[in-house]
Amino acid sequence: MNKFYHLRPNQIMRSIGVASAIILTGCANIPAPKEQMIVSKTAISDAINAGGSEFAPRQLKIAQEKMNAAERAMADQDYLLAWQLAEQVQVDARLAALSALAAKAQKTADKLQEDNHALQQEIERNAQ
Amino acid sequence: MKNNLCFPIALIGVIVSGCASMPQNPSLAEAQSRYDNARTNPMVTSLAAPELAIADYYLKKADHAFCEHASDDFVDHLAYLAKQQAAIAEQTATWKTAELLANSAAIKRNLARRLAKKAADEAARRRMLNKQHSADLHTIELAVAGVNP
Repeated sequence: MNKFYHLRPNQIMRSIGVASAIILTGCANIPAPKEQMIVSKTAISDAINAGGSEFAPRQLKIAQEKMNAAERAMADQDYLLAWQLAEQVQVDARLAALSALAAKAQKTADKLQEDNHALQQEIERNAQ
Repeated sequence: MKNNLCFPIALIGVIVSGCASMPQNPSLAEAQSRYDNARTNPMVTSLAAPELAIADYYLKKADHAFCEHASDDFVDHLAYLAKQQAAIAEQTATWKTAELLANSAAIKRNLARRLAKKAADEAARRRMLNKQHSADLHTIELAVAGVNP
């Protein structure tokens, strides 16, 4: 196994240790995930800027609905739920952004290939 | 003595097997399958290795939480992150592939435009030469007709 594999378990143990302690003991004092909420909102803005509304509307909607649910959980002081939802928003929004970028790049590539085909025909016509 | 040995032996068993003997959690199995798909795709391993490494990290976290008997909700959450991160790795590879395709198509188009222009100029020159040639022939015909009325 590589070095990376050997390094990871310690980090996993540490974060799992904290998270498990919270989950298993049902500890009430989970801090409000304020930073996570900001990161999640930024991820949604990034997805919109990447063209998510047009090219990945379904995935963007999922992220936005979870963001609203996270806001409600924050208001209810259900910080564990807010924390989980905020984390999910980050991956959902990132996926929406990448899907939009991929769709846009594919559209550009298709258009250029069409142009190339038309130019090729023009060259052949002129060569005759 | 027998009982005292039970826990260490069980622990060794879990470490060695990676808790493989335990019943599978459906969300964990789904995340594992999605991750395996991404990991065996050469486009993903070559174009989205960092994204894939994060998926691996989440998957290990989820696996560990499951082995540690964390709540289903917590395991499902980590498995969801792993699954989505594997999809992120796949989508990153798709995006980069499309970008490379678009870049190479743009280079080809610029070249094709130059070639098309050259071909159009050449065709125009040929048409002009043909016209000149026809005009010359006509003049000769007239001249010949003049000599031999």
